[in-house]
Amino acid sequence: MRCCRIALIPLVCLGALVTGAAGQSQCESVLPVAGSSGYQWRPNADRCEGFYKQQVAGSLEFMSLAIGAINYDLVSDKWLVVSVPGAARFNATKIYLTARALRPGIYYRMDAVVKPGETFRWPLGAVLAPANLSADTIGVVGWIDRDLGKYYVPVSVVPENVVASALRPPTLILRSSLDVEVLRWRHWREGGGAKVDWNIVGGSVAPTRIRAGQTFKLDLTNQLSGPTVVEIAPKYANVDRVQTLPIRVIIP
Amino acid sequence: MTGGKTLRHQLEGLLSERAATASAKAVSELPIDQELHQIEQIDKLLHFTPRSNAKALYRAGLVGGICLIAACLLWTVRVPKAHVQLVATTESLAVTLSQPLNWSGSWEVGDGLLRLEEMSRIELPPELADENLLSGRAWVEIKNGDVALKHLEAKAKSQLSLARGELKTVTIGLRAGSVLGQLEVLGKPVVEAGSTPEQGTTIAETTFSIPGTVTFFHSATSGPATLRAAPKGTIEFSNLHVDEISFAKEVLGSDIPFESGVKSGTVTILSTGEKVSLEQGSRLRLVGADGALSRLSFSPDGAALTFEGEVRRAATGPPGFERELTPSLLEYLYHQQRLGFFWTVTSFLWGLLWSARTLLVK
Repeated sequence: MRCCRIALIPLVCLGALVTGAAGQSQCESVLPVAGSSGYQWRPNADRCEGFYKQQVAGSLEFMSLAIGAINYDLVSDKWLVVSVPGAARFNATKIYLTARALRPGIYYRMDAVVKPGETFRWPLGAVLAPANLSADTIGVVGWIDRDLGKYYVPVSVVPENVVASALRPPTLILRSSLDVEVLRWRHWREGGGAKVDWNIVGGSVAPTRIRAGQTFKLDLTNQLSGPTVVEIAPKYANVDRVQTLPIRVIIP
Repeated sequence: MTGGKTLRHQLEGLLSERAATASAKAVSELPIDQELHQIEQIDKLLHFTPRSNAKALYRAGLVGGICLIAACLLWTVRVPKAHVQLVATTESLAVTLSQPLNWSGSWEVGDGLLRLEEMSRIELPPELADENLLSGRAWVEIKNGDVALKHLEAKAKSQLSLARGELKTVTIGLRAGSVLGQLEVLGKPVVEAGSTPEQGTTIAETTFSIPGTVTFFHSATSGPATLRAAPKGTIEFSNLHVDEISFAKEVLGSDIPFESGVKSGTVTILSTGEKVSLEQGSRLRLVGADGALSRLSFSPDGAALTFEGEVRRAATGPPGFERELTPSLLEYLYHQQRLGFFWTVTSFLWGLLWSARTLLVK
């Protein structure tokens, strides 16, 4: 019996090495900054987290889709609990989570994967607290893969001693790397078309001009549950043609 | 000669026997003077007994035969994988992706009729139809308006074929893997669509001042799907990892069902440095390809590509008269300057160290 146990040790070590290597390889798509705060695989809660070097970004970035506001205290809270309400109905095997800094110029990122029904425990002490990244500077998105691409699912991010509530409406946060003169958006239930009118951020009389790097929120209150297409059409400054970006969201 | 050989054998046998007896006695601490004397005598006699050359000749023949067989094998056996580079233009190209493809950009494809056929799902802009998600063997035709391909992603193992058609049209074929794409529609297009080839959906006339998005999906389990269009410009892919590559195009109404779509190009066997030029219609077979298309551009004029990778077999020429481009092991070794240099350095160092050891031991 003892021999069997001893023989198992290298296998367990190999398994741990393979798991670690697999986790680490997921972190290699981003160029990290040097040091312990650099984007890297963190073994205490399987994830890639840290700061990375600036890379070329898309013109419109989807930063956050969270139920209610993300709220935590960097001093008193030690762990955040990320959950995806209603995930069991999504017919997915994995839910991908990505957190990013909302402020321009802060290249922070955290990537993790959870199974539907599970929660992700996110330690504040590793990167967020040392870097002083408070709750209003972080956005989190969760998504699953389906036939028609990524489907974003609203996530709940709360400190470990707070109960998550699915009653609050999800808020969608976007950021543009270019100045947006007019931002139109609309949404419809997937598969149920009909003519859908465009909304203009700030209203059609005096549309809100969104500066490059500034985040803006779209409120998804009163949405019916199920897959929804949110189409965003920014009119960038100095660009004649309006562009469109369809985003698929599953409202739980 | 036979008598000398027998006598020598007898003397060698006697020498071994006396040596064994002497050894046994020495171990038992008995005197061995007599045996040593006999051994010396037999040894002297062996010097005067003629040595047979047959054994040496036999050994030399054996070594020579082995060398000949080895040389023949090196000459005839081809390397298991050859490193090749291909720069070519072609009217048709079919590849199997070994890694996922994720392309975003803008490729204007609406310079005529655009048709998507046999897609698992097509989602139309909501203003076009009340039920805008078509599933099954979905199809859509778009005439007029500005249409651009904005996004294309394909999973590994997807088979993509690109073919130039008549009247500046192109066909992109999709099969075996999941493919997802997005088209952007602007202006006042005439759209027809349906869930099956026999069934059409009522489409509303719409003018798109803000671009509408048509999303299409082809599942890995569905039959082949196609996108036919008359593009204005060129679509560029880079670092497309593939594990199958073919240039054959189907010829309808001909005795030869397939012919090469190659227009021009050069194949370089990087293992040996051999270069082969390709002309219009040159047949090129790259079997077991595993590499990357570092550049692939596709337009109504055809595809231009640069491929670099390993192939199990490379050959040009018509069937039955193919010219093998995969080098033999002998050709491969002949061109391996680094390998030769390595063994030269290894032999030199070994000789140097051996000489040093001999000097030091003395």
